[in-house]
Amino acid sequence: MSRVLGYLFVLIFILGLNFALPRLLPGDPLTALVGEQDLIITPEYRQELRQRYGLDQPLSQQFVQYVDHLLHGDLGYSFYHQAPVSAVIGPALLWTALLCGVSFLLSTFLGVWLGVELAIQRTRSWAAAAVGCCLVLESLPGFLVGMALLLIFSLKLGLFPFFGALEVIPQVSRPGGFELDVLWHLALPTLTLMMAELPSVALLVRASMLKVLQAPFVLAARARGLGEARIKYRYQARNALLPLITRLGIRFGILWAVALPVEVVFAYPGAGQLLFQALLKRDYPLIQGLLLVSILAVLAGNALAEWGYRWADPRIRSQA
Amino acid sequence: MAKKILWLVPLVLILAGIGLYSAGGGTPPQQHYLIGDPQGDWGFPSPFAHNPRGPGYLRVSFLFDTLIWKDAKGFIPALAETWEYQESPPAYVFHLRPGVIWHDGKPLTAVDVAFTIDYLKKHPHPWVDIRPIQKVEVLDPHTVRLVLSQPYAPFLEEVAGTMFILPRHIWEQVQDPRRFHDARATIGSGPYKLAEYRREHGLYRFVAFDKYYQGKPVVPEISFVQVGNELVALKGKAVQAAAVPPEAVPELKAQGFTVVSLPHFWCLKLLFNHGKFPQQKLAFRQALAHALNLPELVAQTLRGHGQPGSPGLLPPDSPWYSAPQTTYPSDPAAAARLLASLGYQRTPKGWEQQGQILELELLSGPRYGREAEYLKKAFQKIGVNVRLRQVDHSILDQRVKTQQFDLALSGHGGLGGDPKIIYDMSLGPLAAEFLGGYQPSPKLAQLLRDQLHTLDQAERRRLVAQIQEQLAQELPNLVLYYPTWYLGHDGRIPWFFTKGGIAKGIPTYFNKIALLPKAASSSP
Repeated sequence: MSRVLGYLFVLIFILGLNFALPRLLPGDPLTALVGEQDLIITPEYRQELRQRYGLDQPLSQQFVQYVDHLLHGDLGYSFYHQAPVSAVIGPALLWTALLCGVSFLLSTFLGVWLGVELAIQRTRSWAAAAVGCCLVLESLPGFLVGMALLLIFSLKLGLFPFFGALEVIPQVSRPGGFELDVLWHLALPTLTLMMAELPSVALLVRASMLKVLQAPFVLAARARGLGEARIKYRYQARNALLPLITRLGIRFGILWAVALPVEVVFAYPGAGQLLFQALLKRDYPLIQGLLLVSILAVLAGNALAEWGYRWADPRIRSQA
Repeated sequence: MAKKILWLVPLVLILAGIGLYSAGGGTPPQQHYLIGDPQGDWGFPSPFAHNPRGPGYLRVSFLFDTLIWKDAKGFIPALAETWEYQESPPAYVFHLRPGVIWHDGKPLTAVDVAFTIDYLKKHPHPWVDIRPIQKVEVLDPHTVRLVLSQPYAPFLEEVAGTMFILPRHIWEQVQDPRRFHDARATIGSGPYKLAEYRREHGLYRFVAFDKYYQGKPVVPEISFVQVGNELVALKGKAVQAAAVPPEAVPELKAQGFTVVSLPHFWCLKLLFNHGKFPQQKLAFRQALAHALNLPELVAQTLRGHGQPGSPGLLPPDSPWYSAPQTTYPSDPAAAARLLASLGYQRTPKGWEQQGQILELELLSGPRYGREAEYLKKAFQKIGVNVRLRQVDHSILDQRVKTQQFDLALSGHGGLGGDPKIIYDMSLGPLAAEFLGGYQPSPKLAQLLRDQLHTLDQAERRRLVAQIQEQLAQELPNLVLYYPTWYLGHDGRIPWFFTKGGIAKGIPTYFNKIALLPKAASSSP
């Protein structure tokens, strides 16, 4: 109960911050909206814009309206897109959930497997080479990897599409329909995100595994005659996962922000790109809507991490 | 060994599957034309819900027509077949084409034109200022007379050539046009109908309107779509047209693409804070102008892809351009004389007055870092110390508006259209905010007002030339350069550049009439 109250308190505090932060950004949203047109628009139109977006109201009144609308499930009206915020962020969040979800799951599972193998087979030459590759990949910026994949697999080999999450020309019909089309567009962005995520997961798991390889409980398991595969995953890996769970909890909340450069390179219609544009355009309602979703994702990530600890470590369960 | 090879089997199968899948769709059908745009969404494509910037207007222009339009040479008939000017009282009479229908099949008449003007009075549009219209008279179903409060020279371009005509039977029920995102909000009289709009993909898919009064467009479907990298998408033939960087031009031409440059209707300026000393002094602004070598600036920062700025604002590509007599060639000695005339004394640390060394802050956006560096070096050569500060464009605009700056780099377009732009820039309601508090001299202000109400083209041209000369003398800001922008396309559509830019001066090639059978064949 106290934990729920804690989350509720954080949520209320963050709502206030969420309202204030975009408005603390220097720059006038109307100027950002109309750009050079600002010079030639009529004063009447400018005034109409101010009224329409509530920018002529005092900040306190704007805040009351924001909370009131939020309580009624209304996230506001985007200045730039001239549409309800929920309608703008809805599709973007779905595409982001797909991109980030798939890459998160794949990079986590493959990263754990690779980390375990790198630790177990640490003396093999391939393992040393793989650690080197992981370090290189981890240090490369996402947009650079994405651009390289785009040039190789789309431009040179013609295997994948150049942009978007769906085929935009309806006449181009490929076998497999909608689902395969989505997967086809998802492949390169996911691969890019995985190449950014997987090495750090693998290296973290490897480092944790190295600490438990010779632990007494491993010796005890071997003495009981358990199989190597079971020892590896049920005993060693499970014990090595705690730092990873902490990291994954944090990453879960911010993964969509990490996806931003990938979304830009592949014009993938996700929420990271939307937030970036909203910040540039000083689109307060859209920034607020997206930050709110981000906050909820971080809170959800923390909650999942807590649940993950309990699952991975029976000692925490028994203490609770 | 065999076990290891077995690992390769699924990999080969996956790659083969992807290869087959990607080849499965074949090349996009010829009847479809895709234009790539990195920005993506420009708002719902209705006359009131589109984004107020040029690309938003452009998309709606495929769906809605105006009374008149422009081609490469100037005004051409659109919904109005002919038009005439009446002097007393000042009025324009437009004779509409008979038989024009809306996308839903209903006839378009003069009542729709009158309704549009009435509706715009209640719901202002960022692009159309209808205040000069005093009265609207529907003379018959195909003739409408717009009476003006006084002669207004930019009328054809600013109103008749920009105002989308709305179907009365749809919009008369709409109370909040900005939030009217119904499919009916896109029913216009333009050459295309909206087939699909996907905000998140920045996709605007238009299909040809079979019953368009100027003939069915030659391209059955045309779309704007968001792309991550325009050049890669164009080279991969995923889109058929996109803006391309200058360095890619030779390679694209070698690959068979058509690459065209746009006229120079956008400028980068050095802004001065006119509320501060010494920027408020003409001699100081002239000294900084003499410190710069604009052709060298273009060569170094744009690799030659641009034109040096004219102190009279309008670029040589503008039909209204007149080379000012007053120029500011690179002349450090002249700059030093001008600074000395302000009471400054040259010291090893720079110019000094009353124990204060002259040092100014130069604000620039992230895109103009190189230009800022060049200016800093050039000003240091004449002994003026400059601190660089890079901020994002919204912050820069805000600081210029509130006069919290010394010098700033900022740019704007619209230089190809009617010379009303000079009025807006110098005397418009927000001009002082944008020019660091500059107040034009009474002579310049009078010239600016006079040209707005002068209908005689030769006389107006003379006034606009005088305005450019006066601007060069007063130097409210310093135009640095006009960059060259390029469009690459597959050559299938004979895109041409609209005289002065589309509507009020949108600097793009994508004029809808290039897609029409008659207009396309007659275009240069």
